[in-house]
Amino acid sequence: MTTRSEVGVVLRGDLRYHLRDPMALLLMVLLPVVVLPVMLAGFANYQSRQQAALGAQELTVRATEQAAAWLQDAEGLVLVQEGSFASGTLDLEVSGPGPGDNTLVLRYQGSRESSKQALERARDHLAETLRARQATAAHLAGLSVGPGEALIVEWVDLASEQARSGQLLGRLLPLVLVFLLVSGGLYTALDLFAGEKERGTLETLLTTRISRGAVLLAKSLTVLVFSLVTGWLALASLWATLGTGLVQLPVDGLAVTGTAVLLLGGMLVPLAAELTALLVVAAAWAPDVRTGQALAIPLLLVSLVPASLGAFPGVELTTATALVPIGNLTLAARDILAGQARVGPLLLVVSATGLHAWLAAVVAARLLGREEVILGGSSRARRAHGRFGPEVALTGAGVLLGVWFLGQGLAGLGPVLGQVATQGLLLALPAVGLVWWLGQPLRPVLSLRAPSATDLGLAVVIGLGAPALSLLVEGLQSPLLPLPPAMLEGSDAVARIASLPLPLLLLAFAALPALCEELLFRGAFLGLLRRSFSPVARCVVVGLAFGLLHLSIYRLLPTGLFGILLCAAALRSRSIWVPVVIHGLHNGVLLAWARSSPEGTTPELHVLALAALVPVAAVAALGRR
Amino acid sequence: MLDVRGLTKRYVHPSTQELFAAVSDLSFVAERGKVFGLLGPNGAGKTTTLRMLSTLISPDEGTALVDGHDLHQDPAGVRSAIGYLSTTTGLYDRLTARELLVYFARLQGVADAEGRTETLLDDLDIRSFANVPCGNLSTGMKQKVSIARAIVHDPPVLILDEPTTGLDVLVSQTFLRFIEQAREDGRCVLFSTHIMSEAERLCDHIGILHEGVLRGLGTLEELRDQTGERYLEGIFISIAGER
Repeated sequence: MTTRSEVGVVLRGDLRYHLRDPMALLLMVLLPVVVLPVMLAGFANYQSRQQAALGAQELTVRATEQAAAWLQDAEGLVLVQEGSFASGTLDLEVSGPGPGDNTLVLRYQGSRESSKQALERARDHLAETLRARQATAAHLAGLSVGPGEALIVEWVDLASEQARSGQLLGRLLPLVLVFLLVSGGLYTALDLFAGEKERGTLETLLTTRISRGAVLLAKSLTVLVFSLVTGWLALASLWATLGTGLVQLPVDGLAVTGTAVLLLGGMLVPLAAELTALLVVAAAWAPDVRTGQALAIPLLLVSLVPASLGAFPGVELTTATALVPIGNLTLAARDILAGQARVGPLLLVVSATGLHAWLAAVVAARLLGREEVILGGSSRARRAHGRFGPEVALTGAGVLLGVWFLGQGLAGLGPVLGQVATQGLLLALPAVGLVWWLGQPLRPVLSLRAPSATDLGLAVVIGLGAPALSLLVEGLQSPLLPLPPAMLEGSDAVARIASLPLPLLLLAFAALPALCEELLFRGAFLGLLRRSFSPVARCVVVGLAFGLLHLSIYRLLPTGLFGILLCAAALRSRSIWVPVVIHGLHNGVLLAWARSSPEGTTPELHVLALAALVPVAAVAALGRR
Repeated sequence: MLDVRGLTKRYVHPSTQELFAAVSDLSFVAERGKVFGLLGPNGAGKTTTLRMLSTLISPDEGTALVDGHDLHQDPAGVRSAIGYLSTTTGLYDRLTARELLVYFARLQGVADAEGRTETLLDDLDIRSFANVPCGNLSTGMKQKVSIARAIVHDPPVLILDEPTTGLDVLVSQTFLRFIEQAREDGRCVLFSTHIMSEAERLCDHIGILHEGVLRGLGTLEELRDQTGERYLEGIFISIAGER
């Protein structure tokens, strides 16, 4: 055997072996494909919302008499007499010109997005106003429009040096701190949980009189100490470096105050607690150190995605961002470094972080309560117990992301072909693929058995009556969640399918989704979660996941409740074909009704409520012999 | 001392998705100053039984009284009363033998942890390597430290899950002598194995477990009378029905 063929044999063997490792595939394929698009889409989405919110916001300007006259009808600016930059109640101050002074001065705070936006609006408006004024003056004088009057416009950034350097440092430092906190606690967490499982010392510990809760708490505190000390040492080192000038930095004025270091040190406690809880969940779940180490990279990425919030301009610490795990603390850290931290938002950040840490600790405690987890080999043992919660959750998230990111692209193939590709590739294929990958028998898990004639009859009744339930829920939620005009008028997608012949429309948008979506939700998901949840909890979880798939807050409740109804029908009839028939008829009736009544008149709510009783009663009658 | 009543543990079969009983309606009594041997092939349910009795996993049905403590009502009391040792239990590599014993003595609430440790260092002939990190010890030394760890709180009941599996003859002898000593000390020893010669040498009572069900129970003599076989191997095959 030549060296080349020897290498080939070993290479093929290694590839075959490692391609069977789900973790290797996850790291190699799913992470790189998913992480960056999700991160960028998330930030783009957030920033456009922020911009839209800021665009709709009236910003405050205090101006002297002449400037006020020029700015009085400026769009998005409101003239005020009171207010200050320090309290955030003033965004811009304009002074001049006055007698003997032809300078117009615009003072703003460069460290605050709203202040920068106010400056921009004022500059644009002043340019327009002054140009118009100039043109009028030139017309009256019978002259051509000449060069501008000798008005000097200056703008002055009032942000302190600390604020400016804090903005700069605040974009980088929190990211580095999160990285250090995770790496500081990671090895200890892996060794204390996955390592001890592997070496058998956890088993030894758990047969002593000490309770599991005490073991979990003590080990979590150990991880917290390692993580926190890492973060504190990094801060101390940064302070010493900047304070003593030990290192000559290429950026001028980069400084951090002692107060900021102390405040940051304090904020590291809840941040480290949150990250520790996350590390403990991962380390407790991992059956061995190798799996734990493989988890470290995605864990670090998961932590760094929200942590990078502070690095994006325009993202500010608001009530909403104060609730974002990890990201809220990086935004707070940025404000602390810029000397702009306020007590209220900081307290909200600490409270929210405490809540996140507590929730993660509860998950960790539940994990350690599970026999298969504490005894190691968790995924194998969990699967032996028939529990596939993580696999179903991952597939659900993957399908959701797939429909979100790829759905639009596939729609470009045309309404019918796009629908076939979306349903086939993104829903039916993962359904069958997941069951096959987990080595489960397809027929029982997907409930591929013929229904009784009675159940089939009832399915027809439910399918014809279920649209009433969907319309009722839409009607009931509309006062709280009114449909936006664009959705009322019908989207482009609806317009594209409106011209299809009715049989093709029903085939592509009623029969096909009925089959593919039911295979995934009422087949794979409902079947694989059999040992994880009670029947009621399974119906709720799978039903709401079905609602989420429709990617619209307005459709979440109607489709979610319809999903629950379909789950109940599947469980009672023990046949996938019953929800397939219900789903197909439901979609078909709604499509046919929309075509015959394009103006969209909906029956009265009380009529719908009465009609909705029929499918509910019929579901209760399913499965009776 | 150890009163097992109808213990049952079910799992889902990975390929058929059906529930099966790893241990089914298991009942027996093990007494103080006696060694009870639980015999069975791999997958018979021995480890599942011992893990239930040490509260590592919960039974689906049934219970047991361990030195008077009920598995469900007083799991902490059960753990205080047992010394648990299995092939999978390990030691902390970066702790020395002495540090490890003091640590476990404190975990178990021993009043004079240091004093008890010193006694065990002499009793089990550990003193010469007491200050060596456990990770640097030989297999035989590690087993001695493991034994000391299991009895550091002087438990009345010892639960030993195939403690000699994978060990060479000399190290196994350490264990077998320890079990004999424990019996002399008046402890109740529950000992699982699939090595027939060990069971023949040590066990006062034997339970033969096969596919989760207790197929035979009694002294070696009683089992000989029941089956007409002289050696335990023959008795086992006769009872398990696998020839």
